[in-house]
Amino acid sequence: MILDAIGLTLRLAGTTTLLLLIICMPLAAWLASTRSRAKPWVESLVALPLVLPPTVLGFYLLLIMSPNSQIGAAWVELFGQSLAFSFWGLVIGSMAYSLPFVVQPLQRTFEGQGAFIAEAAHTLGAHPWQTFWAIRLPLALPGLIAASVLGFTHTVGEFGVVLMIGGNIPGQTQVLSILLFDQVESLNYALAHQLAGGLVLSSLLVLFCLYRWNHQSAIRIGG
Amino acid sequence: MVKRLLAGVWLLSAAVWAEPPLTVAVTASFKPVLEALSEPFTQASGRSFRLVSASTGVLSQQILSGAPFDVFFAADRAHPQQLLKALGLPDDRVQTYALGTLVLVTQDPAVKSLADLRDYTGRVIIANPLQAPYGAAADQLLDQLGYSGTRVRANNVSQARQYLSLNLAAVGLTAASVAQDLPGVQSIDPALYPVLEQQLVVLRRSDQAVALLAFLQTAPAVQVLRDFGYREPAQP
Repeated sequence: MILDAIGLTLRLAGTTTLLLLIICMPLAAWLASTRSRAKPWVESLVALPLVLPPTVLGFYLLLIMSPNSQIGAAWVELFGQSLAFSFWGLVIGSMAYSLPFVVQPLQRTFEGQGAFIAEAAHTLGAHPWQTFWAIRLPLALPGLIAASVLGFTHTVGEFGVVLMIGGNIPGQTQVLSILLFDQVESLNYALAHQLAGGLVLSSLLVLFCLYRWNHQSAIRIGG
Repeated sequence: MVKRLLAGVWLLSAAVWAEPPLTVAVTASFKPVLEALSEPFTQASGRSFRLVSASTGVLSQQILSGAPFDVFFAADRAHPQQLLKALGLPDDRVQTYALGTLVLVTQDPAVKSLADLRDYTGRVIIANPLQAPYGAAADQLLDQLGYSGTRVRANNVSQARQYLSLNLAAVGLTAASVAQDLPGVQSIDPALYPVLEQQLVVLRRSDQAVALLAFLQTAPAVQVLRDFGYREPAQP
C-alpha cells in the first residue's frame, strides 16, 4: 500500500515536472524579454495558483472533467474514459497547481541573463533558436534545476486538489498525502507517523541539497 | 463616549443573562434533517438550537479538544462510544437516534439492479470505507456481490453524491439522505448490509437538551426523518 503510493507519487511528480518544464521554458523566456502589454496579465495568471485555495482549482477541474462539459465529453470520446479519478486527470490538476513554482525561477534566471548575450549571439549570426539552445539554456541551468526541484516537491506536497478530483483509488490516484490523511482520520497513527516522518525527512533532504548546491555555485561564480 | 461604552457593556451582559441557545454538533449527512426540524422545534418548545456541522471524525476531535457543544449527532456508533469513554460520561448519555439506509444510484443501462454489479466492469463510487460507515457498508456489499471493478472512494457521502451528480461515474452506492434529488436511485434491502446505527451523545445535560431529544420522538419529527431517507430506531 505504502509502496504503491510512493511509486504513484513519484510518477505523478515526475510527469508533472517534465511536462511543466517543456511548457514553461519558452513561456519564461518570453516573459523575461517581452515588452508586450499582455505581460502583467500573463504573469498574474501564472501566479494565480499561489494565492488561490486549492479548492477553487479542484472545483473548476471537477466541472471541466464532468462529461456534462464539452471538454470532459471530448476527452471521453477520444480516450474512452473519463478524466476524473484517473492518473492523467491528476497530472493536469498538478500542472495547474505547480505552474508558478516552475515558471518563476526560470523567468528570474532568464531575466538575469540580460539582453546583451542574445544580442552578441545575434551579431555572430546565430538564429534565435540556436541562441536559446546553445547559450541561454545552458546558462540557465541553475534556474532550471531550482524550477524542477520546486515543481517536483510542490507536486509531492499537493493535497487539496487531489482530494477533490482523485477518488482515492490505490495505485491509480491514492498519493502519499491522501494515504496519510486516510490513516490520520481512521486513527491509525503508527502508519501515519511513518508516512509523515518520511515526507518531512525526504523533503528536507531534497531542499537541503538544492540550497547547498545553490550556495556552492554562487561561490564558484563569485570566485 | 463613556456612555456608549457602558451601554455596550450593558447590552453584552444582557445577552449573557438570556438563555443561550443549544449548540448542536451534527455530522454533515444529518445536517439537513436538523435544519428542517429547527423551525418546528422552536414553534413547539419556544427554544432554539444552533448547528455546527462537519464530519463525525472532525467533530469528535474538536469535542476531545474541549469544543463547547451540548449535543453531538454522529453518523455511527463508534465515535460516540469512544467519546463516552474518553470523557467519562455515564452510559445513558448515548442513544441511537436514526438508522441510515444505503441506496444504489445508477444511470448505466448495464446496471438495472444490484445483482448486475457482479459482472459490471465500470467504476463504482462509494464513500471512503475507512472514514464513513456508509462507505464501509457499501464496500462490504460490493465484496458480497462479487464486484471486481474499480471503487472510486469519495471522502464522504456528500462528495459521493457530488461525483454522481456531475456524472463523473454512472454508478454509486451512497446514503439515501444525500441522494434524494439524484436520478436513478434504487432502494436496497437493509438485510443485505450491516445496520447503520447513528448515535448521539449528550455532552452537557440541560432542560433544552432534554426538550430536543423528546421532540425527536414526536410523530412530526419522525416523519421528517423518514422523508430524508432514514428509519427510526426500534423503540426499547
